Amino acid sequence: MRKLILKMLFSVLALSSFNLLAQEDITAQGEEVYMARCEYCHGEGLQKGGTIMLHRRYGDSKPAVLHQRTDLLPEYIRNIVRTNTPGMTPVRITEVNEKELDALILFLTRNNP
Amino acid sequence: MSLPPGLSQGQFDNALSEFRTAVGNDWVFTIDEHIAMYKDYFSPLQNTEAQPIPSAAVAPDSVEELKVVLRVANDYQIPLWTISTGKNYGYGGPDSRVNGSVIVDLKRMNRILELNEEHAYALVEPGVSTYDLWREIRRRGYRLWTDGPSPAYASIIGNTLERGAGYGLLGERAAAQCGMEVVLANGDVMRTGMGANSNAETWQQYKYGLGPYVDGMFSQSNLGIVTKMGIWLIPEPPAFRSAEVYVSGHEDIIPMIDTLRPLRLSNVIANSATASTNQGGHIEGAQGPGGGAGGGPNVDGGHAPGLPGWRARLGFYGYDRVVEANWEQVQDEFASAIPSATFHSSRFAAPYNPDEMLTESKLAAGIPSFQEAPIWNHGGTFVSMVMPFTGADYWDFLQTYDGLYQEYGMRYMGGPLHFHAPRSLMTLAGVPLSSTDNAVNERAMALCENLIRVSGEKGWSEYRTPLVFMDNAMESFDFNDHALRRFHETLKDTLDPNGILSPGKNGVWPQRLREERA
Ligand SMILES: Cc1cc2nc3c(=O)[nH]c(=O)nc-3n(C[C@H](O)[C@H](O)[C@H](O)COP(=O)(O)OP(=O)(O)OC[C@H]3O[C@@H](n4cnc5c(N)ncnc54)[C@H](O)[C@@H]3O)c2cc1C
Ligand code: HEC
Repeated sequence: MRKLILKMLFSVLALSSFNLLAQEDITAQGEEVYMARCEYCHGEGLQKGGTIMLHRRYGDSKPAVLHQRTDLLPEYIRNIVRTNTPGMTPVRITEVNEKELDALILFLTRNNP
Repeated sequence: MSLPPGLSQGQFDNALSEFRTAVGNDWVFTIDEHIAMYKDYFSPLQNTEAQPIPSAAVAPDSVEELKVVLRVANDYQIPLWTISTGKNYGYGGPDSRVNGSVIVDLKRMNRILELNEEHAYALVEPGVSTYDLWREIRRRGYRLWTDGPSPAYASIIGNTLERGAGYGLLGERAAAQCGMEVVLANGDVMRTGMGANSNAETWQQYKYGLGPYVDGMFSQSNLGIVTKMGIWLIPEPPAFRSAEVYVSGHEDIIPMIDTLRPLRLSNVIANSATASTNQGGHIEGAQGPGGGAGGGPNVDGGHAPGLPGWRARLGFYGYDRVVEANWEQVQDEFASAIPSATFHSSRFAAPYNPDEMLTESKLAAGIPSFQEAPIWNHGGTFVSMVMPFTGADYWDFLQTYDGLYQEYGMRYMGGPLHFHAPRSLMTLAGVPLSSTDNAVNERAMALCENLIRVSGEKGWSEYRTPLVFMDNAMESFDFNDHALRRFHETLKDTLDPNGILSPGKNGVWPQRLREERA
């Protein structure tokens, strides 16, 4: 199912993208967005707000570092990014636009089973 | 959906289509789901009818597009509210003061126009965050340091215009600003300082130009929209020592402040040092917004075993021998004033590796971080007073505030103190809010209003204030029947006769909306 969502997402992206970018390229773009807009809260090291909170929530049952997760679903990520959640205010379209968010989601779900 | 005051749906639809022509369909936001992203989730008014809701948000990508937005707003008399990155949480976030305002979101204007290593400055647009600039410096391998607030995503322009506080050698952010480009309400584009010479070679090296120095008129202001700003950077020091002084008694804050003052005044402590209670100093111990860890406020719900001691955080920068001599001298001064004081410090040297530093060292080295995010689970609101740099004054402040907090069933043990403006103290009192219980927020509002009023009587006023308290805070600047506010209003009515720019910002209302003042 997840694979299917991923594939559907990819085909939407691919169709909408002028150059028909390869999936790896889009994932790489997503990684760049992640590094610029998410990593300082979610990256490695217990001094980052997101990592601290997710570590508290999950203990050792899931990785506290967001980009090491393999269980995040695309719609879940989209929803968290665009709405207010405790500790994380909405990330507006002017910060991460819709295309960048699609790429970001592809990056964060790249290792999903 | 809300409408700008006095506009019919039909008129507003016409205005929206003109905005769309100006900036493109994708960059005018009107549906609820999008408007919700421009809400202040830290507002004491959240979940009440009183919280202003924007009618739309418009995101121009250039000065030319912005000029058209201003023209349309003038034509329809639509109140705008400008944000750069809109992360002013604790002080109002991206929100406005008038229901139905159109948010002008400048995040798309995010170009670093110049980065100069030789003269240590940058020229940036509003959407550039401290973190964006820090990354670009590293990408280019320049030997420069930034400075700024702890929230990494904050706009350099937004934070500097708010006269925010950093932690390093240029922590007094307003003082690090050099030259700006401003679009006035009538669409006229002006450059200040040396930038007024169209061939300027020193726009970012000399602040004042010739004649009246006007940059300050655009900070914490509603007289113009700043579209470019020069910001000074710090040449990377060869050595850096990040240091902490601990005192265990609650009353030890008095000699601690009196020991810090001469050291700060004489620039032996050259950075924007801070002090806070040592309780909950580690993030793991933080308890909601009251935990007092990191830079968060220290409001204690009564779970504290006894009154906390204090910790001052200092930074020493420059040639190795100077750094070491200054730190030794500072330890001697503290040891003789407070024999029980203890010290901790870490030394770093170029080339620096941010991964080796803890948050406190990173902040003093201008490395953006945002450790505090989780403390603010349910948001909080700030009261930030400027007061004399003496232990006795601060002790008076602590007793006064703790007394007022207790009237509302809370305790105040002392929030972070900032020494960024080297000749005064800036104190931070945080009041926790609730995202579900309006009674908590009403109580918080009442407490804040009281804190502001009582402080005013004592001669303390705020350096910056949340949207909801702007009228209260400006009220304390009352000399000669508010001569200063009358001056602000004269400028406002002259430069912005339709009152379109951020009405009510810091208690300054345009003629047309002056009855809105609380
Ligand atoms: C946990 C926490 C820690 C914080 N730590 C710090 C700290 O260490 N230091 C500190 O200073 N602050 C701190 N803050 C407060 C705040 O988050 C920052 O100051 C932040 O920089 C402000 O947001 P911004 O840069 O996105 O500004 P914006 O929200 O974009 O702008 C702030 C205001 O400036 C005006 N403005 C913005 N852009 C323009 C423009 N182009 N032209 C004219 N007017 C404009 C508007 O009135 C706007 O409302 C903290 C807040 C929290 C919640
Ligand atoms: C200001 C710091 C901050 C930034 C920036 C930030 N986040 Fe978060 N994020 C948090 C915090 C804190 C939490 C945990 C909230 C909690 O404990 O409920 C979180 C939670 C999440 C979650 C939920 C994880 C789960 O297991 O439920 C996702 C997904 C997420 N963030 C994605 C992102 C993405 C993608 C970005 C970049 C666009 C981003 N975040 C940027 C602070 C941040």
